[in-house]
Amino acid sequence: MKSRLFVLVFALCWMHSMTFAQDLNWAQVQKEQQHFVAAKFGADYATVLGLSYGYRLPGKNLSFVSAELSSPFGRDLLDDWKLRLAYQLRVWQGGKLGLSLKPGLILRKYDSNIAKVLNVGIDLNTALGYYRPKWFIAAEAGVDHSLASKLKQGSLKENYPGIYEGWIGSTGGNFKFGGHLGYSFGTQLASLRLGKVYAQNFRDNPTLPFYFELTLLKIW
Amino acid sequence: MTRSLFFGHPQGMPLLLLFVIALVAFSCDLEDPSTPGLLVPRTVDQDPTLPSLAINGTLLHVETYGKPSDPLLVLIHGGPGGDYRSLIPAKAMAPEGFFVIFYDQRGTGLSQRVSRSQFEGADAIQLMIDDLDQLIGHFKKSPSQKVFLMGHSWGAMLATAYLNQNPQAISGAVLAEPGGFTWTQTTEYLSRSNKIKLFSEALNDAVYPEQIFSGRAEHEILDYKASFFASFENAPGNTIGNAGPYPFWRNGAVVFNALIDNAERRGLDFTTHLKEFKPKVLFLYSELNRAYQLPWAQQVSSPYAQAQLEEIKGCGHEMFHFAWPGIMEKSLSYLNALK
Repeated sequence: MKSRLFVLVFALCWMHSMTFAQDLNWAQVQKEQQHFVAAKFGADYATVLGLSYGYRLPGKNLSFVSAELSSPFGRDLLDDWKLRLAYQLRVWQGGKLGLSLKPGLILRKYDSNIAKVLNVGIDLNTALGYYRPKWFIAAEAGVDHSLASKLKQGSLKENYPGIYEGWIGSTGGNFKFGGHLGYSFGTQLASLRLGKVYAQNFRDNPTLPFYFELTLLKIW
Repeated sequence: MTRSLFFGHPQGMPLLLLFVIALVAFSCDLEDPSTPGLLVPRTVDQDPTLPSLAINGTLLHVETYGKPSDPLLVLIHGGPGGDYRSLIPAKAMAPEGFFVIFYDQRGTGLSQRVSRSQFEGADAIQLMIDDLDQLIGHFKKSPSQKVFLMGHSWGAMLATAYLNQNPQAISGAVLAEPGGFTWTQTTEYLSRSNKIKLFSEALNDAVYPEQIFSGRAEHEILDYKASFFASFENAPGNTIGNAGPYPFWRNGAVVFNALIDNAERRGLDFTTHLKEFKPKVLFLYSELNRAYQLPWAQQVSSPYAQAQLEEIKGCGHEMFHFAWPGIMEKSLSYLNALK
């Protein structure tokens, strides 16, 4: 029930805002630019590498749809990954200040000898920043909520043969609070994102309780 | 055009909202991960077919082997938050003339789950010492019946905490790789044994699922989630020399986190009266645990009046599961001399 309420609130926020985004320096984007690609390195529960592509949507508000794929380091490449389909939009602009929203749908896969987990979730990120053509600084907050997961047990099944395999409901979510700095040069943008991660109950927080992301982005 | 599908179309947002609500409705009809028995085994209070004993206000998972009149040998598992499943080979001590007692400590394994608050007070470890004391009291048939302790890792620390308070009550102890007997010592060992490699598969196997299992406080979910984290110590190339996973019933996540937090806040010192325990202890360390080795075994065991140090060959920290014959040989020789 809590989960249902949470997502309803999430969805209503989504509808009644008009999205904005964090990947870009809004003040850098030119009228004719339609696409961006970005490479990322950072810490997102583990050390990760990522790639993303964004496509600009026509309309009065500056907005992009994007697909982002990231995967943690380690011996087994792409055994674990996160795919996020997002819509990012500047909702409000007042002088050089801008407010943006980025709702997304997340698909995650985790694979180890313990278990395989396929997870579906949603997230919503927001940023309030000061944007200049050459640089920007923004404060950001985000929420990520797991909706459902499909489990296939590995070694846990040897320990507990009766263990359940199949779809389970929500296993929680988390909040992120931090900042985002960017420097633009030509059609490129280098940015750093840094912040804290909390579990949704602010108690059972992750082992790696912070996130950071170094991004190199090109827009054309 | 993409925009017209969702965002440009007047009904785009309601369509998206419907999509999200459909996802939510789908997720609400699914199995609740906190359902007892779904992702981790049922505990003694949930499954009456499991062997149990009511001790010190809680229900413990307890099994015994052998003749009740024989000298008691109490197996104390590691963790904190582990269980005795990987120690089961020690039941082979029963035909050798010992009454072997296994128990899952308070709130761990198949013992009844308890509230985190029980492990947050100044008396948290005392509670576990009292549990052990009452367990021994329950099985001890006469004042002359000898009692021996056999502890592994945290269990060897707990055995030492018990001996520190009750030096006259125990006739001998087998201690296998206790991390340390003070908190300073323990943290020093943990920093070596859990050495983190930031870009390793072992690390992401342990922590990457924390974005999926996050912030639901039901113990069943926390215990299941802890299974991923616990895999770190058994991953290929691990520092403590484990050849792979070892069997367990469940990881007692709440007990583990609460007791570690408690020790960080209050510290611990199990050595204050240890010299009063006069019998020799058998102190075991494993050949392949690179974080332990002889110098550390000598340092940790030094508060005891007498300690016989023995290396168990061909295994790492989980020696009861991977190298029981070596432990049994050395333990029998030691225990028979004290019996």
